[in-house]
Amino acid sequence: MSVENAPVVDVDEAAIPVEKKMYYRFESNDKKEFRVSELAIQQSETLNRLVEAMGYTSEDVENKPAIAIENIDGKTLKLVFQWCEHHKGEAIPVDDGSVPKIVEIPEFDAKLMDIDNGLLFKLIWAADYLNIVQLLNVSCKKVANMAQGKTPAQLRRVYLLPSDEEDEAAKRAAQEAQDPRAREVEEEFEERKRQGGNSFF
Amino acid sequence: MNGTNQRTFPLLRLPLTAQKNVLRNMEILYLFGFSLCSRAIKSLVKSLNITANGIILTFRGLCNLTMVFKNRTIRLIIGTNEELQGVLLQIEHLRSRTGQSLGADVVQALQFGKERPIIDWYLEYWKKPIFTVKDWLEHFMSLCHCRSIDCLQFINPAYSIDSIEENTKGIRFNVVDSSDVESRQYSQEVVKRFYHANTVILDDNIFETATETHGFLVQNFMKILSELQLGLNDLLVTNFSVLDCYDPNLSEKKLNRFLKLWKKGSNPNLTRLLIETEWEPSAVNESLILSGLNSKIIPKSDVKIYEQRRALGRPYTLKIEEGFEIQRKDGTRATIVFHKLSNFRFEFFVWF
Repeated sequence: MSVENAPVVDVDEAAIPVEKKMYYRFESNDKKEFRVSELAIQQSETLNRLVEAMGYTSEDVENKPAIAIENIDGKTLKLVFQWCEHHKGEAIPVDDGSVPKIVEIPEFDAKLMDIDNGLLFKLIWAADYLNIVQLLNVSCKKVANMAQGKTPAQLRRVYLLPSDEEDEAAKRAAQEAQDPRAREVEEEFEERKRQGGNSFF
Repeated sequence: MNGTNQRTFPLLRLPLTAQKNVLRNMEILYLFGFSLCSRAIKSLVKSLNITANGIILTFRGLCNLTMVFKNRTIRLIIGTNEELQGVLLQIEHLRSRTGQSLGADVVQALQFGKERPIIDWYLEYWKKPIFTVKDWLEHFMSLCHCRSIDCLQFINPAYSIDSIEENTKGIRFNVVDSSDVESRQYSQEVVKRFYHANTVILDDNIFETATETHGFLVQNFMKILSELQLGLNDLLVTNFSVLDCYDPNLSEKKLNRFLKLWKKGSNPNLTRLLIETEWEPSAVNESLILSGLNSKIIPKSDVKIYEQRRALGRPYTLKIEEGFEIQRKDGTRATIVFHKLSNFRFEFFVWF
């Protein structure tokens, strides 16, 4: 996708300072390109550090290829950057360790997250990967709200939680599926450890 | 598909930080319910390092565990399905006569806000068919990494003392409160079985003979809050550091004798003593109490602060603005305060 055709997420023109705004170009793993303002990028610790390290000028942004974000698809990245543009300039919350966390889901975020659970799942992965603290908080809050009023049995169904028996069975299956050579090496290592040997080799 | 129509979410396929973030966004009540899903989930909840500010275990009929958190209080009523529905009262009666370990397969969970209205609760009970009271206590305490309970309270319990002892084995208690037990024999057993507690709260003198009372007082309780009727001899044998008591037979002369003996070294652990009397304040001869003690009047400018730990929450502080100071032979100072309210109260603070 060309720079001109790249989807530009909501931008509040009134909030734009008089000096020329700096934008960066990002590309999702399905080759969709996004132009995102420098201020919006500050919501993501990962991207902020990345662009700082790259030290791009406005000319570099236009002339060099878009920065690839290889493990996030375009649909998810669009939501991420929409969120960052809407919340640009806002302070990044500091975690005080409290339980439950005090997180309110603003109207904009609620509308943005009115999506199916598959996309919500990807959005949380992206927020975690890009280290966008408040987006992670609100999206996790939405998932936490699914627990309201549910008994343990209902919670198990909602969150697809395996029972102890299922956990055990999965562990056994994983052990059985292990490469026989690797298992052999592991057994030999355990045997030597039992015999008090310090070195495997 | 609209997000609100979706029924499931694969929580455990999220990165660990996000899993924990989801959990930390849940009300503590739901986290407790969540922890019952599996051992792996319990470990995940434990990893949040939730800390309770206070825990009270009350045997008020059934077993109630109250856990106090910042801005939240969780109450868990533990019992069998029938007991919780209040139908088979006979079972309670039987339990009070047996020493069995207490099978309790269900829990009713309630959550209160800061101003106490119930803000959440489960209509359905949490169920664990093979659980006993002990298992539930261990489960909930381990979620908050607690090894001790602040207060063990007995309010006419339905369970025998043997059962309670069996089901609380290994748990340390800071305070044991038996002040609301009608049976004197039951209270005696409570004091006997839970002698490891720092503080004992009794409502009345539960002992029948002076020997029994002395036997109780020489135990290493830090604090005894009770309406024990104590004589001078009782006071002198105590090993505790804080005592609130009531003495109908006290006289100015006896108090004076006690203070003189304290000066000579008796009651070395005592930090605070409060004695309630039935005396008319205007009729008390203060000079007789202070006679021969070489006491000094404390000027109003010399304010002292006494800090006392409580079963729950922050220690409370007492501001002592006036009184009389005496000094022991080893240099330890103490303040005597006379409270002239509707009755006369004698209070004594030792400053280490």
